[in-house]
Amino acid sequence: MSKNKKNSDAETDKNISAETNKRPEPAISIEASDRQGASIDIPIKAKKSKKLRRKAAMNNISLANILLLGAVFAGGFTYVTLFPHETKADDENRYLAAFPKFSIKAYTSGDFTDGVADYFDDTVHARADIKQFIADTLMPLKGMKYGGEKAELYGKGFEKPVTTAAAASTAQRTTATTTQMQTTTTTEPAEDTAADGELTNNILIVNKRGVNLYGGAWGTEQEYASYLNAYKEALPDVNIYSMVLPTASSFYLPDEYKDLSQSEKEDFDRIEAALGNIMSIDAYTPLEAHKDEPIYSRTDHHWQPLGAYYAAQQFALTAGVPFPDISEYEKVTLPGYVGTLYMYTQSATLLNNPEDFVYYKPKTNVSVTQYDTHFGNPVAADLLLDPSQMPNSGYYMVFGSDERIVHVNTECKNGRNLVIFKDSYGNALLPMLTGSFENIYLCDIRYFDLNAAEFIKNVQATDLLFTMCSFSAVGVNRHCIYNNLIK
Amino acid sequence: MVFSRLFFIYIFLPVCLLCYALARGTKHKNTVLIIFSLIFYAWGEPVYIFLMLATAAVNYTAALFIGKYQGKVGDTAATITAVVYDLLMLGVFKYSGFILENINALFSSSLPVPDIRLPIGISFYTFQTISYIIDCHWEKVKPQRSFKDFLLFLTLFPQLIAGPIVRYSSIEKEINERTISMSDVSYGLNRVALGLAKKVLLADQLSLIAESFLGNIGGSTMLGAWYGAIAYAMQIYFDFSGYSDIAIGLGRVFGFHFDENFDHPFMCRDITEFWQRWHISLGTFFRDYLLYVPIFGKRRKYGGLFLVWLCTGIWHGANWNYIIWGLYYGLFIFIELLIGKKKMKVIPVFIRHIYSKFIIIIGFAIFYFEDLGKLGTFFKTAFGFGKNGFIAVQDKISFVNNIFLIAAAVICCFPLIRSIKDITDRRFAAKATMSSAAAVVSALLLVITSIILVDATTSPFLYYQF
Amino acid sequence: MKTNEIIPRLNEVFRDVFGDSSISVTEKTTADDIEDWDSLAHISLVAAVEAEFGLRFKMREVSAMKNVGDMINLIAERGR
Repeated sequence: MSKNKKNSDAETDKNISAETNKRPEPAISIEASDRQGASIDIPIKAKKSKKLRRKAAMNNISLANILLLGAVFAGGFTYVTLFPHETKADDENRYLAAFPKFSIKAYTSGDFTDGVADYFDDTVHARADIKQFIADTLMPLKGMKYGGEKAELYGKGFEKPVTTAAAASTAQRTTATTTQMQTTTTTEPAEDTAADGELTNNILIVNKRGVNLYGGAWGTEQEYASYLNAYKEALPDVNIYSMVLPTASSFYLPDEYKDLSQSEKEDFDRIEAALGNIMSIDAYTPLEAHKDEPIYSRTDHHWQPLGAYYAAQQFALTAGVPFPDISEYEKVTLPGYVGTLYMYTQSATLLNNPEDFVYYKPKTNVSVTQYDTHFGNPVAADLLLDPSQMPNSGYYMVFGSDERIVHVNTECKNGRNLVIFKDSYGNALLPMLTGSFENIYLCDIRYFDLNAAEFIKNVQATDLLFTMCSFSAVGVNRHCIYNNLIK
Repeated sequence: MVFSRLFFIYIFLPVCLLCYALARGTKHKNTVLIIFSLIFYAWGEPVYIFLMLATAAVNYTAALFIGKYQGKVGDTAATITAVVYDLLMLGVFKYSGFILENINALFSSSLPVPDIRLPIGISFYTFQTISYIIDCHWEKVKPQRSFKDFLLFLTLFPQLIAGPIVRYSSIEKEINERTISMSDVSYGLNRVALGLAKKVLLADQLSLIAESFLGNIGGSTMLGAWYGAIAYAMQIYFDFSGYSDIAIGLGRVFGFHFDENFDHPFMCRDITEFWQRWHISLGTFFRDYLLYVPIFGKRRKYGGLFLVWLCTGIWHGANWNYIIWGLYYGLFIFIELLIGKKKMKVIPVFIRHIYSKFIIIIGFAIFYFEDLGKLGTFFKTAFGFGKNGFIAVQDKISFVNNIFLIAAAVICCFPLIRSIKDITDRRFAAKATMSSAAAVVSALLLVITSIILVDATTSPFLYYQF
Repeated sequence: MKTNEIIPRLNEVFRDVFGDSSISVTEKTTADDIEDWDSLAHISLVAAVEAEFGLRFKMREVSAMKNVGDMINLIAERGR
């Protein structure tokens, strides 16, 4: 009853507002009565007022519509300007855009105005929560997971020129802040993208594991081998080893999905055949034997330190050096790790299925010195960084960043000095070799600014290990190996 | 500045709308619009804004001369001067690199190729000034005496950087006299929300599919190539028509009625019809100012046709694939012309739909590949001569992963809103319900779009490496 | 020339160009009224009209013709 009354009240209100809103009504009704004659004036008037009422109702709907969207705009304005701005993104391991500094040059180049807009876009309040909502709730609406393995495929959808330009400008900002954050973030996004469309960054998520699909070498493995042969020519007295590391692509693709990637093993065999007087180390076989142990990260494109242990064991065997058992290490478990593959795919599957990150600390004493990429500015450092300072997506950073040369002096006084040229996979090997060599020099092939042969002679290396994952050995990173020799 | 970013939607736009609402009278409102339009353009082009202002000044002055010397030599001279200036600027800033590269390749010369960045929106605003000058010359419109009003026509930010190509004649009266009704504003705002949703929820998501299947065409299967091309066709449609929706919607909020730029192009039954529904403002521009150019004598019909399609191709970009793309469409329209409308109609509608979609999808693939070698790989792959077979598991995974997105995109290619409107407009209650629902849906779309945009600054490549 | 002289001749031209003997044009006929009258057919039509009435339209006139009335006015002015 009361509801009805309310409705009719509203109706009356509308009528009143219709009356008051419509000033020109008399003119219209005069026109109507002129046409129709005065006798039927009353029904016309009823019709008229119904028409007016309808018009008023539509007007009210329009007004409500404007107010509703206006509220969204006003709310959005408040949210992006007045709410506290975020400063860093833990899941992306970077500082967010800072408000740009004004200068004439920055203005004329457009960097300033871009920077202002980027600042507001990038530092939205509760960004991480919103992103999680997108990953958890919105993105799954696009479709379903495929098959019993619940497969999701992520292509390289970020290569369009526009986006790369945007990424490049963010890259510059990020480098400025990397030192504080101890990330491996670097400024070469373009370098890891596909070479001639063969090596791709396609990622398959299957059985809750992200797998970066290996696209095959297609001949570039010959270049890798020839570069190493050139090192042997320059350094005939040094033992040179090549240990190219397989990735998860080799071990964790269910049969139905095997066609998505090329065989790493076949490329390794081709490399071994093409190597001259260089010892090729087969890490594939021991890793395959242990593939049911957590030797590869599920949420990260890297391996786990345990995988590095098995590979290092194989290397020590070939090199004829002592190799302490894993029980000689202190095992540290960091739960809740969500690695790089989540960053790339933004897949809720990875986000909601974190893993343990397990690493091993040598119990023996080591002295560690960090240098810049010119082997200058030595700083005493720890072998492993303190994970309590890191977001849980940054656990891999316990090994430190790539843009530096690390020298480790160990208690193993066997007179063997090892230089390692590696990519980020190699970082995990370093702690595992601290019981095997007297001095170890860890150098990243991508961030090395000396002549490699001279460096190796200077540090009186007896052994030289090239170790990197398949993607680096046959991808664009391979050129760094040769470039370091002719610097 | 692009429309599909939080900074535009929630800072620039609300501030602009507020100032516009507070300004009293059309004069002041126009001042607000010009200031915000100049800020908008300068945001992306702090330097090239002077190029645009120079273009505005040249064309404004030329039109005054045209008006003064109506029908005399001065009229013609001013017209030619302005059009040559406009085309020259477009040529220098858009095509000089391409032209010099090709001269070098042809004569194995080594002329320095200038590295000129394309000023945002130059293709659009140049065409607006050309149409204005020619319309003045043809006495279709009177030259605008006020530079401020002319600047408003040219720089109006909703259409400034990606169209539609607005004719001066279509908004001439509204510059100084326009009424803004409540329904205009609500319609306009809803249209903006719809356009943003098309761009962010459909086009940007479809681009991920297109990119992984066309961007890596060397690794795609036959079905993958078609899948990628279809995703790309829909991506471009939603991207471009979404942009036009935003422009038309914002125009309406400000009281301007721009002509529609898209009319559900994928509903076409032949290629001729496709181009009557796709980027309409460009098609009518070429129709009015180029098609009837009397230089082909007796063959003027076919001459005009291919000239228009050559120019359509060139207009889209300084690269051979765009020229091929334009002539490709010209060819099919030519063939349809030879067959004749009557005979075309004899063919069952179903077959005409298949034929036209097939041609259009291949057309978009040509549009995609600036690298002609990769375009060749696409053709080989799409017609069964690729090296990766017919179908592979990645095609299936991607399709299943995106099945609802694709279904939604396909549905949105149909004139859905219009059909609903046609039905609900018949009864008042239905119409009122529909309008209320439109308000709620628009608000919802806007919110979801905004949420997704938070993710836009994520930059995985920085972190993703070995 | 007078309008009533022009229309029958013009009608023949239309029927010829569009191959439709049921066409009967008036001053108010526009492109919307004749289904096949699109921008390319317009070129054929203009060429045929020019031949029939021995005149030349300017580009601006071709572009600006909105209905048959526009065409008739031009023919009345300059046609033979």
